[in-house]
Amino acid sequence: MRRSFLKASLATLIVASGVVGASLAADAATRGGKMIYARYADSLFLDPVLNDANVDIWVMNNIYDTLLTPTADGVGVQPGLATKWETSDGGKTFTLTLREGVKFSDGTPLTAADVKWSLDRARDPKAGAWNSSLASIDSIEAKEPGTVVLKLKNPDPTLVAALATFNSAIMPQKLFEATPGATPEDKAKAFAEKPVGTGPFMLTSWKRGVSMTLKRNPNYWKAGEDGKPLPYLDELEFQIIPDDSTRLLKLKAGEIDGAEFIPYARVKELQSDANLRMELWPSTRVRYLTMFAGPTFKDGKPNPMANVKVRQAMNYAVNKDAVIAITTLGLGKPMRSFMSSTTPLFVGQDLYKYDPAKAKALLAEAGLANGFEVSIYSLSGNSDDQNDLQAVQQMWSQVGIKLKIEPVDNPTRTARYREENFQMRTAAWTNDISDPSQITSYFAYWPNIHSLHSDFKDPRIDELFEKSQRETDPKARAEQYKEIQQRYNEAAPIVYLYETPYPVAFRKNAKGFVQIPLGNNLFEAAYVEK
Amino acid sequence: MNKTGYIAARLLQIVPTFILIGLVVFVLTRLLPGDPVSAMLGDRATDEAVNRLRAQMGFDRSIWTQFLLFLERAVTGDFGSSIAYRVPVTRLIAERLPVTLTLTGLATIFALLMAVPLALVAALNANRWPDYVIRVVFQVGLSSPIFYVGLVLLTVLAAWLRIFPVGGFGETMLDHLWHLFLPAITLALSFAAVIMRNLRASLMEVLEAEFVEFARAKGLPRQIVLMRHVLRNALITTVTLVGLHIGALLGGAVITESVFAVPGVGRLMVDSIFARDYPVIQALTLVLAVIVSVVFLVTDLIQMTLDPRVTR
Amino acid sequence: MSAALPEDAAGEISGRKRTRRLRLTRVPAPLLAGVVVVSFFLLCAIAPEAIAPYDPIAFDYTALLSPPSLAHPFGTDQFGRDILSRTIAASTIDLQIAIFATIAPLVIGTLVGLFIGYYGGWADILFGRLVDLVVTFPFLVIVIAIVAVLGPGLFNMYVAVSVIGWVFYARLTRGEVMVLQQYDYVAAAKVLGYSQARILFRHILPNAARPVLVYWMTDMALAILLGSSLGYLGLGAQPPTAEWGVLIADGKNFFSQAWWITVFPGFAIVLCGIGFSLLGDGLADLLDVKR
Repeated sequence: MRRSFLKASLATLIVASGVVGASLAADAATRGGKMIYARYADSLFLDPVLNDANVDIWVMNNIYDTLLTPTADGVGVQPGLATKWETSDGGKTFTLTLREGVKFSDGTPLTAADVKWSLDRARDPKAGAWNSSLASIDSIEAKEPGTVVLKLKNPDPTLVAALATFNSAIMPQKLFEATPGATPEDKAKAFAEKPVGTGPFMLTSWKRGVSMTLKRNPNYWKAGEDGKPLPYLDELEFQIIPDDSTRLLKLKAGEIDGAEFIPYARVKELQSDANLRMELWPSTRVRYLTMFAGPTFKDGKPNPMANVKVRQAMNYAVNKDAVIAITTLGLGKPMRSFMSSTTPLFVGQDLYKYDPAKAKALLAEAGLANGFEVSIYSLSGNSDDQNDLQAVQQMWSQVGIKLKIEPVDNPTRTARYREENFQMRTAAWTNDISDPSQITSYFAYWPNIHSLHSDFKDPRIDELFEKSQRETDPKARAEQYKEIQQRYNEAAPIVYLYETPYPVAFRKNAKGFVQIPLGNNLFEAAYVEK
Repeated sequence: MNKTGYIAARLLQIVPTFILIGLVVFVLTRLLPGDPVSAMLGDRATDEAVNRLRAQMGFDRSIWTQFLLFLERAVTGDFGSSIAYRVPVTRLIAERLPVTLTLTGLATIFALLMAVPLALVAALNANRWPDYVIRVVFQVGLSSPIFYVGLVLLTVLAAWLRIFPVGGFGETMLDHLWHLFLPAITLALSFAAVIMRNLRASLMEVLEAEFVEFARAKGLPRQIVLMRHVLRNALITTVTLVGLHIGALLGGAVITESVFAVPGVGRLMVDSIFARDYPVIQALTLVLAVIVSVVFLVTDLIQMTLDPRVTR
Repeated sequence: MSAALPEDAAGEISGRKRTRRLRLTRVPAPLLAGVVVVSFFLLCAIAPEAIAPYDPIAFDYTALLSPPSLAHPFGTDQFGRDILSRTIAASTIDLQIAIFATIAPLVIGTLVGLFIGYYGGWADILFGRLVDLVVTFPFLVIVIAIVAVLGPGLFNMYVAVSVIGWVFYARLTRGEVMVLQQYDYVAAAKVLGYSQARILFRHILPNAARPVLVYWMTDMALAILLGSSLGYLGLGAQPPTAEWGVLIADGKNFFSQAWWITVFPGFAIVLCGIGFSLLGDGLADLLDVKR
């Protein structure tokens, strides 16, 4: 297990360095200037605690800092606003030492009180969707100058990763409280219009759905390669261009310096473009099909997929390599567990090698020798969904499973999911935290959201997960995760497809951007050569 | 009926229409499957988080309470805040509306510039080759979908030949016009075809009509005949068509704005439907209805001024 | 050109008069051209497999993104599917759109317009408000909203278009009926004591129907444009259904490498639209409808 884990992370590192080697090369960074980066969708709400979406999470680290930060490979943490952290008292006390001399972008110094206030706000069970990540904290003590002590209800192996996650970002208490607004939500709304943090940039203008301009934070604490403070850029502009081909045309015309979400179909073309540099960042993104696994569907009809053999048969009947070739043009790789290979404590195995004969046999054992019909919700207008499902539909038809594709828009698909009123649905997942607990709590641990609302339930997995949440011995925790993954993968409550990297592209002279496997866009060391 | 009375009567007629629109849109948005919360929170939200957000936005209240609340606020001009962006709807629309108005205005001007001279040429050469060529070219324009023309123009003129910027809106006024050039041409094509066709027909009618022959017989110079009679009638046709086509233009703007990444209200509307951003959909529909009504009224008034025979 | 204008114009006028006399004995050229083009597409729509050289959904990994050639006159797409065959197969869907998106509005709208125009009264006043309501919304925006309510797909698109579209037919018919009622023969029929049904369907409808028929042709062209636009936005026909708009949307990511995926279905839309417009023009000429 240990070895495969190491191998996987090593492979990740190699891929990462191979792909972005050019941008990390030792040539000196250019200071000053402006970078324009095109995003497919705008941010919505730049509040670390109350936000809801990746469009916020993935860029907020440019404005706010966390006490710890995820490493570039996504599997570990490194110092952020805290330079040192240690546990004592059998894992029930967690002491952090704050970095000296850190200032917010408005010039006020960061204090331990700000940290206590920010974490208290983030763990308030009545606020935001993410508070449970800090649920083990019982009380917080600020010892000025520069020390913060967390008293825990129980030892928490995920706390280090949680303190490196966006929702525990540190905000200036006094400034926030002085913001006009009757309720905390109103204050948050007003504050997020002109957010102040300790991050490398500060927001100067924001036209919703059009563009966002960030200026260099002159008080940023981190130093660049030249020993002077980061960031290199004076200005960073995000332009919102939802149309894939328009985004790319703008990049090719040199109107922008970089663009995210390059369609897989065009990666090769951009790789051979002498003016551009295609970057494929390792990600925690997995693409899979969710299936309902409860005994009956919402309409009362019996559910064939309640039978594990049927679920396994459906997996055996999918040729993952062929799907990868069709949808990602070979850029993806087959899923080897429900979590991505970039997730800490991932244990991979070859899952459901394509075997239509075995699939047929399993279906016959389940009493469905003549196959059955199942419908799936897909996202209308989404070419990945279309390609995946056209391929799967054709493969399944060979073992007698008739797949009916029902395209709907995103809110509809999500509403059906929450009502547990679906047979199957297309889905993708990225982790928000450098720990396997988040994805496991959603995919496999029934009490959270009924295992992706599939109603799949394995009491042993639930028990293991609960144990692992308090397990301080890393070795024992890894064992627990190994068993969880094996049990889940055997029970197959999803159809395993593939992992994909984040495809971004830049002009040759725009360098230094980093996207970590969690998705966060780091622009602190980005620069544009003249 | 005098003009003031006419305007007053028209405005009075508009009021019930608007109330009806408000109701229809409110009901329609509530019929959309899912709600803003299901659009905002992805797969990794707990039921707890979902319910909290729903309550915070007032969606746990009955639909009637919600409607009354909406009416109460709308009367005072308060359309609430965008659910997705958490900023006042009025601000969001104020940012985007000028873009769409510039785009449609520019498209109308381009359509006239293309259609009027060529319609004149076509009418004067009716049923000979210049007429055929002009009619075929405009027919192609009329039959081409906006997204297709946009894609081709964008790729060829902007990305390959680098004559125009690929998309966006630019910074200064001149920059705006420059960025909107291709989108406006795209949007103008089918409108120009409609204007050309109608103008050609009415020009031919006018050219045939006795009063032109009479005027010509009186020895008036040809240009004056054309200017006075022909173009005046042409203008009446065009003004009527602008009124009839404003809805189609705004609808076309939805697609044009998507293809060219132009940040106007058309794109905002589609985004808001997909995000179930109720307040934005509601306010935007009313704003679009106001624009269309105003354009109707103005074109009617222009028609009345140009052509005294029009009385309603 | 300009110097010779008066003579030319005069010659033109007499020329027009000549054609007008000949009108009933000769089929107008636009009509002929329209019939040819539309029949061609109808043929493709009815028997695509007889015309298409390949199976439109068969993948061919040996011919991915190949440019137009003798084997594949329109080239192939990223799955090696033959674009010519897909364009032909798509005509089935697009002609269906032309018909199904307009047939309900045509029938319902004409009937409603007939009755409202004939009887007037409260129904007419209500209808006036309804027209105000419908014309104040941009058509495409309402259709998108309704499709969003019902879910994407062709059938829901027909519903969405029909919910609004009938109003335009009703308005047109109503106007015609109002005019026709002024004519002597209708008044005479009334005096002769013919039944209302007979007056409506035997005397008024056939005459009111002529501009409606002409409008129907234009509307079918518009329906194809609308259908392909919605297909392009992901709200109309759903892949793998081949529909021209969907084909263009599929190919737009490859535009700079493989223009043929997008360009040929686009030609089909344009040509088909021209066909219906010519048919409309020709019919207008033949039936002497002023447009």
